[in-house]
Amino acid sequence: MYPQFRYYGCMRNLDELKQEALAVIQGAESVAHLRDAEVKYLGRSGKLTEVLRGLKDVPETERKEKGKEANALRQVLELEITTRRARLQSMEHESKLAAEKIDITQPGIKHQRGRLHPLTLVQRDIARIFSSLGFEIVEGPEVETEFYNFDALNIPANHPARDMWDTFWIKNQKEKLLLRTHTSPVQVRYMETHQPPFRIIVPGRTFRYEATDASHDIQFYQLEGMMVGSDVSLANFSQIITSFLSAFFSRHVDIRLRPSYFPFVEPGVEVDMKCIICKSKGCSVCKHTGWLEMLGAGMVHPNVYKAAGLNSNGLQGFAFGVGIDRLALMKYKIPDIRMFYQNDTRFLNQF
Amino acid sequence: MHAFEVESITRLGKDHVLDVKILPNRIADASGHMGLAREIAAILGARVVIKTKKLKEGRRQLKDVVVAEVKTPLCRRYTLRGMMGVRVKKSPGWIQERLLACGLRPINNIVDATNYVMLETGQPLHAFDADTIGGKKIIVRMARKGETIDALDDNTYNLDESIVVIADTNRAMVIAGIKGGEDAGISADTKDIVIEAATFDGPTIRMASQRLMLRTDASVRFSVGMDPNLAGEALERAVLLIQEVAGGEVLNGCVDIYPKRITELKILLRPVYVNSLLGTNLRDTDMITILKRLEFGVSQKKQELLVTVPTRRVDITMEEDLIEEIGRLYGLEHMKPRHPVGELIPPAENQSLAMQERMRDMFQGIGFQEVYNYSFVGEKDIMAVGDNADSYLQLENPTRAEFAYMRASLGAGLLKNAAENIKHENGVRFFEMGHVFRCDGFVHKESVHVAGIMAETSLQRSQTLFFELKGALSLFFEALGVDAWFDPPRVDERQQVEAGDTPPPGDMVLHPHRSALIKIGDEKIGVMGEVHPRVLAACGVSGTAVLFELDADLLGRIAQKEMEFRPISRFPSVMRDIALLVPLDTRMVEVEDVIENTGGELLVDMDVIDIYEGAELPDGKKNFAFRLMFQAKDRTLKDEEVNTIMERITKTLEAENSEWEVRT
Repeated sequence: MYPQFRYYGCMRNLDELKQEALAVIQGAESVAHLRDAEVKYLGRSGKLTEVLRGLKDVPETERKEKGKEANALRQVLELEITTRRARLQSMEHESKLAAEKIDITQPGIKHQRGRLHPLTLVQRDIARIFSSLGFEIVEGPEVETEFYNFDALNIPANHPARDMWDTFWIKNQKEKLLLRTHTSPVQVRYMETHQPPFRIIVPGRTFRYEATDASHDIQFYQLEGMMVGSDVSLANFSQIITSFLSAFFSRHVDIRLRPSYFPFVEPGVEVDMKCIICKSKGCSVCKHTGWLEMLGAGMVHPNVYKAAGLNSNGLQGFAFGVGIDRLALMKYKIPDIRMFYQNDTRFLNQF
Repeated sequence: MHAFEVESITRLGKDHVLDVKILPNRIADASGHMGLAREIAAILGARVVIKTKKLKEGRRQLKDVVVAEVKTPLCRRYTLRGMMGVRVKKSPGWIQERLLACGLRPINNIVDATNYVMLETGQPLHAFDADTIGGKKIIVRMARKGETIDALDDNTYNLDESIVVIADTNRAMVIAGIKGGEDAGISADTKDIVIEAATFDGPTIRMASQRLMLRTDASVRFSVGMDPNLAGEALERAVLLIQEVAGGEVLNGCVDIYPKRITELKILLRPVYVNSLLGTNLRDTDMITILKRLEFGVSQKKQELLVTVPTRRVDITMEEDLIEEIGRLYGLEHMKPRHPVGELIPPAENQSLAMQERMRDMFQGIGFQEVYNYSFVGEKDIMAVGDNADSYLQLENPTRAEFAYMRASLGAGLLKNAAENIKHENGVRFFEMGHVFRCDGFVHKESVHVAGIMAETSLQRSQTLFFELKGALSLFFEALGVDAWFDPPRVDERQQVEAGDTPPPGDMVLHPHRSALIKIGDEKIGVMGEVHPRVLAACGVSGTAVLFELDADLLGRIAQKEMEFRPISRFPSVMRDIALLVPLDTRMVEVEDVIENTGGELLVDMDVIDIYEGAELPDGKKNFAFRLMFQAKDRTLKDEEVNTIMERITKTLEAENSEWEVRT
């Protein structure tokens, strides 16, 4: 081997070596070939390595010069190999990836998707809107006493107004228990344990003993609201409920108040909303009146404050009750209230 | 828009029939045509003219025909007039037509005339055949226990001491304020009659009407507590009308027993309060005009108005009632909406509700669909889940047998949902959150549960389904930040489950060997497991189902407490794997317990990485593999330290059970 080296041991030979090596490197067609080329020139017994190793036999006068040249060549080759390798690798990668091609038009793998019930969604909307208006969300029991459901709300026993609420009664209880017919009892429960001013909403499940049809069921959700202070007026109610309905239906809503009667409010009103389905031109939903009956409301009756143990002097405020199922029916244009409790996935999957 | 809701207007011949909804507060004054006319006049600003004729009395005395005595204060006023020689026949056409238009069946001219006047005035009246009044005496008294009456509707009613009757000296003739009896009624042969207009205590009549399950035109009116002053006026009108349609001579004199005369109420009204409550800017004169239109008397007293209320307006007893009158006549549509002004107080957050909403979000997140079921169950449902109806709240008046009880758990509803939906789906995952009820004797408990079901049509998936649910629940608890664990129910705990101590579905619903109690610490918060095949069959679920039910109230309270930051160690952790061969019946928790107890506080986490049973393993053995994570809070652990612990774990495992063999 050494004699061969000596043969290359001159300037001209290094040039030849360079040309040869570059040709091999640039001609390498794969990373493996390139690896072979690297070994051939730069490996432990590669051609250039041997040149470098043979420098010790070169006369001292030429050694420095020769060394410089050989090292420069080494750097050139190394750079060339790196460049070539990067190129080859990216080419190989590409062809490998091309082989891994998939049909992205195939459907994705199914995941179980959970959903919330439309009545939950609507109750969240309601809670969000009223929270932003400063109302606290309060709950109460579904099995209520006769006192909270009726007497405390100024509906004494044998009062004809009791006929306005068809009631489910619970059997065999010491105290007369019933299924609450509205969430209004929570007004009194709340006022018993809090100090005015009050701003609450009470969403919850309520029950009525009645025949069912597309717009009535024996159970439904009611939203009770109450705002009491020292100068809360019916005009304030009108504003709050307009704000709520407009936010809920995401459009401006026109309302009108009509006088009505609920024993726990005085004055009592009923609220109609301009039909949002036909834009009050008249349709089957609004029975061609252009108006939809939405809720009952009024100014809290002094007897209700008294029932909660408060002095009614100087307290004034409004209360209202609205059917949540009815709001949901209108929001989602659902034709039958009973669909909410049938739990058919083909219905539930739409929300 | 100012008073009542007109439900419908229909044309009937020359007339129009208005169906007006009068709510209970206005029945006393506005259920008759005269009252409605007054209301319309007030709204329009017109005047009501009511024409009356003078009654001509004959020479014969009423007191010779009948005398009356009132023995109960529940009869507020009792008035009578008598007539002789009337001719009972059909009413003239115009009376019949008008009665029919108002939904009343014409009977004969006497009865029709009393009904006609009731429609006019709102005051119910009654006519007796004078000859049938035993002892020529009418007594208003409480019924006796066991007393019965054959009423005009051909029914016999059993009366009691809470019911007022109009009697003669022998028997009850009329259930006061509700229904007349057959015996004393007007017949074709009747010649002499006595006409009654009375007023009774409202609640008493309503109670009697409910007890007898008898609702009549009279009972509806009397129930609200009519104005006694109306009785006299109505009686005169009835007598005049009878004379017009049946002839006869009016007897001289009348009975009018009216011990406590009702006088007009005077109420102080503060105009400032009117505007404050309504949110209006009405002037005093506006208010006075409105009140006068309603025929209220008004006099000004410095800053206040003194309002005199006609006695017919029994609904008006306080200032707010007057404000309503002013508001509705002024027109609620003129009232401008106003934003409330007040302190900006941030609403208190409802913690339990917020927690419930978080739970809903999580179940939604792990692929469960929310359902809302009825709160009612039937005996069949209770039997299907192997429960005892005694601990269920029962309804006194269910709409149907399948809805006779209040649900004590959510499981039954979910099983039904699964059964129904699996007919058109391969698998379902449902959850529900709602109130459930249990009673123990007279004490009842209401709580909020959350429950879920996973059901598959494929029977093969039963075992994986259990672990899918367990995995889902583990994720749920982890996200909630509580440390819950699954415990096989022990015999004594099964009994507690049945007693309703933990959330049902109890042990009877679930597979005895594929179910678990879910606990946090020692507190039981729920159950989970495969649904018992018997229950699946009873509920008609074809396939496999796993169910869980948790006490959401309790879980919420615990979760609120447990949410607390735990410091993150700055020092690296060390992982080690350990595998061991165990007999097939070894439960994983037995092995885990040993590792956990031996690992000490440096063992911060442990994951199961493999469970294997197969032919390559020795007979009757399976392989468990765990990955253990060691970490110290205050230093970087050295290999030797961890090695020492691993050796200790190995030794302890092998010492625990001679059949356990650690493989490294």
